[in-house]
Amino acid sequence: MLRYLFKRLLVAGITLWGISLVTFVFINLAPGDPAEYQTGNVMGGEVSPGAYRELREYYGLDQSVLVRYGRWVGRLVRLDFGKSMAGDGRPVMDKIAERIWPTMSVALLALVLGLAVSIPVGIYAAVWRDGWFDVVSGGLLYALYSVPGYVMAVPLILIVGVKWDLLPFQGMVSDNYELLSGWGQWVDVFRHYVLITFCFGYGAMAYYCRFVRQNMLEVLGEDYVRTARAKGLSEFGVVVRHAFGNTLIPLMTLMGMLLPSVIGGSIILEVMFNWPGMGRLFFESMLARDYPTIMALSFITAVLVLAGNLLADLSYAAVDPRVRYD
Amino acid sequence: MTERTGQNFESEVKTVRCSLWRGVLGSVRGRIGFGFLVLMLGVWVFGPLLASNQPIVCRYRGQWYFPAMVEVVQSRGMGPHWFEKSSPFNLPQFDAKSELDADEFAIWPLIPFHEGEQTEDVLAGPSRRHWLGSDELGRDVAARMIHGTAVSVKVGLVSMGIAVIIGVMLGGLAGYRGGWVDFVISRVIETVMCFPVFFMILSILVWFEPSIVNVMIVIGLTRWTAIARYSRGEFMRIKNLDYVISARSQGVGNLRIMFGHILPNSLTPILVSVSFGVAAAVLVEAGLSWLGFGVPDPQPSWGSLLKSAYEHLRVAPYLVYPPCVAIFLAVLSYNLLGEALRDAIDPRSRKSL
Repeated sequence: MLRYLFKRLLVAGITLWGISLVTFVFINLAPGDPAEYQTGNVMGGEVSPGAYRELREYYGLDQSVLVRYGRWVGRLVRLDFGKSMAGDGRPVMDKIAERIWPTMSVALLALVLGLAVSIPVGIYAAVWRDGWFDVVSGGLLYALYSVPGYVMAVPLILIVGVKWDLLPFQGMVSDNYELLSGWGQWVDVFRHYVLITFCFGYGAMAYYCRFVRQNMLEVLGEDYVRTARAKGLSEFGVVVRHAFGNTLIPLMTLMGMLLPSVIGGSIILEVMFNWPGMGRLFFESMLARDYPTIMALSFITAVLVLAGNLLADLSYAAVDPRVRYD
Repeated sequence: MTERTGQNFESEVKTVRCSLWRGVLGSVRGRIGFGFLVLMLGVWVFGPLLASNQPIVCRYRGQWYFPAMVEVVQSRGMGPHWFEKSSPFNLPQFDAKSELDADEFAIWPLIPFHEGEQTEDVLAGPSRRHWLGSDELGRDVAARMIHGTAVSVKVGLVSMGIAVIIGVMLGGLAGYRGGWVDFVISRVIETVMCFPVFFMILSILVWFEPSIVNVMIVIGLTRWTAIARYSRGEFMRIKNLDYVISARSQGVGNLRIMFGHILPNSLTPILVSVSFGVAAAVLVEAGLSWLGFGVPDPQPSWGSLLKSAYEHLRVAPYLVYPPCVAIFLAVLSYNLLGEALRDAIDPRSRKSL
């Protein structure tokens, strides 16, 4: 087990190094640079070439890419992602820290919501296979699954946000947030979460439902389920403990695989909802060629995804005692 | 057991392919998916006959003209305009609608507007003149929807073509060679899968001007991992089958074995992931157009229509539904087709919905 872990970590380390090198070179060689963006956009394009050159020197962009990469790695080992080049000069870690919670909270809420709906629905549909509930929910979920969140978001915003004026859809808090009472602030934030969480999560929810149902169907036909029934266990115990327990492994793989889309699949939704999350930060940094922020975001994403894959593999062993890694 | 002569084997292969075809079209899902795909292709090819500001057939000053039909030939080819409309219909300032006399014979397209034609009706609601309303520049939305189909069809097919080439090459090489080649390629696949698709696409797109060709290339460059994994598995499985070993023992070269013997037999699972990939590509194009990295403005696409609808949400809510419905139907039908294909290949998966 330890040896396996060590091997996996070693490979992951090499992969990470490769990713960071390729991304760094790729981003830094792309046309345009932060100095150009700032002198062009912020100061109206009327700056002397001297100012532009000074700005480049200030950011250290006059050195070769590999030297810059070396420095970046040097800072990284001290867990320092450097300072943003987007003009505000703030440490990248601060910028990300304030963006990480909005994204992660939406992702977590969507995940919890998805599991809370999909597990009962999937089990019920599998047990009463081809019954009316199975057919109706199956068709509905399939249709839902085919619309991505950002396409669904537009009519939703139109109907719920504009026509009925029921829920807000811009940002995390209303303009009068400061004036609200403590309870009112909670309600306000919650109301802002509703639409984006739904748009973010329903696709995965539909997918989980189909997934749980399919795996349950496979498991329900197994011998040990029949044995459990023959022993006279209650139907609930058979279905939930014996059958569903054995569908947990594929569910975990699935979540490991969905992790990248959870972290970064939200760029469009975050831009659309004006949500202060990591996806929007990435988009903004990309436009401003804010190299340190882009690098930090890509690196953190890669670490999280690799860790997610590893955790999913390890959790097999926890769920299923037959799985061993040597 | 009969001996497998060459001819026998050939006919068996043919049966497998026929049954695949029959399996896809035999299921309701397959028929719906395939039907909508054909419909989209039809709308793409014959778009000018459905929506154009010039008539399909008309009589003008004693002569017959077929301007919209010429448009079909002109714009459907990817290359330059090698087939010109006859004068005066080729002149940009010639307005067929006002020039043609009412009593002269003319068959107009269903929607008599060009996709870029700006009328006076700015942000007008659906009416008999503009079936789906008009946008902020007074362009007819129905015409733009019809001509936007081209982008969705082309993006889906071309980007997946690129993805198939990359995926089969890399995956096939990894599966066939094994060893360190496999290790390296597998790590590359893993690395690419690490990144959220839009992270990657945006990082590549900052290198290029937004255009439909660049969007297709970029989607293709980022969407090949699933195909690579499938073909790696297939190549690994098939390379140990008897017929491959016998081919090798006869001295057939590696390349010929890979592309002549293994590839044709590993195509079906790849086809499934292509079908799902096309659906995803349509979505990615819509998302990119939404972020402003997609097809540049005068050219319509469903994604850019959605974006313009979002920008005029409060004044023109009717603009929202056409692109949403179209994207939904396209993605749904590609997914259905993919599932029908998968069922036809692997009957065990039929128990899923």
